[in-house]
Amino acid sequence: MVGRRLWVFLVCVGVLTALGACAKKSEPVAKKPMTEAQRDSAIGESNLPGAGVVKKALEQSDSAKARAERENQY
Amino acid sequence: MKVGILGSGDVGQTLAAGFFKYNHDAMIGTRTPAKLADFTQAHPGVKVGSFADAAKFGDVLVLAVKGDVAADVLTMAGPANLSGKTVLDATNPIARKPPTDNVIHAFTGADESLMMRLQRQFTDVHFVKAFSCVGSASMVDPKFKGGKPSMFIAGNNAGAKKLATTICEQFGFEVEDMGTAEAARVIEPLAILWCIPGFRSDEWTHAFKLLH
Repeated sequence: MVGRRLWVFLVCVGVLTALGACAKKSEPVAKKPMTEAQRDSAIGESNLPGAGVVKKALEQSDSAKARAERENQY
Repeated sequence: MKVGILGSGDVGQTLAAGFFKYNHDAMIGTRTPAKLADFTQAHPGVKVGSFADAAKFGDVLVLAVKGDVAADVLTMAGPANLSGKTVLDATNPIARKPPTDNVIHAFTGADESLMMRLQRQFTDVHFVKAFSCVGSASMVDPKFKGGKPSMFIAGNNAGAKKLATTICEQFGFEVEDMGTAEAARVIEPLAILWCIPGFRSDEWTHAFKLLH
C-alpha cells in the first residue's frame, strides 16, 4: 500500500516537473549589436520632422559604396 | 478652426489626424495626393489638396516638410494665401548627410535658424516654431510617466503664439514660450539632441521637459 502511494506520489512529482519545464519561458535572445550603419539608419523610425533626409543620405551613401565595391571587383 | 497642413509625410498625417480628432477642419497640402490613399481611407474627414489649396483653406497653417524644401513649398503655397496667417513651423534644417557619432548635421550655421530664414523671406507670415523637436509618435496625446512633455515655441507675433499655445495644450503639451523668432536658433538644435538617445538605444519615444 505504502509502495503504491509512493509510486503515485513520484508520478505526480514527475508530471508537475514536466509541466513546469514546459511553462518555463524561453530565455530572451540577446540583441545582436547593431552596426554603425544600422544604428544610423534607425533614424528613419524616429519620425522627427525632416529626419527622413538622413536615412536617404545613408541609403545613397550605401549604394554608392556598394557600386564602388562592385566596380573594384573588375 | 480650419487648419491647412503643408506636407504629407508622417508628421503631416499625424498632425492632420490630431486636428481632426480635436474637431478642427483639416486639409493636407501635398504634391502627390495619391500617396495619401490609405490615410484618407482611415481619416475620411481630412481633406487633401495642393499646397496652395491647403494654404488657402487654413486660417492656421502647419509647415511639416523637409527643411531644405520649406521655402519652395511656401512659395508653391502662394504668398498671398499665407499673408497674415499663423504658420506653425515644425521643420528642421537637417542636412542630407549621415550623422557623425550620433550627431546629425544641420545645413544652417550656428548663428541662424531655418525659421529666421523663412521669416526674412515671408515677412508678413506669423511663424511660430513648434513640434520640431519631438517624433510624430508623441505629437498628439503624448503619454509619459514623467507627465506632460514641454513644447518649446518661439515667434514674433503674440497672437500667433497664443494660437499655437492653445493647439499645443490641446494636443497634450506644456508650452514653454522662448520668446521671439530669434529663439528658433536654439530650439531647432534640440532636434539634434533629441536624436542622440534614439541612436544610442534605438528607441524614439522620448521628449523634452522643462522642470520648474
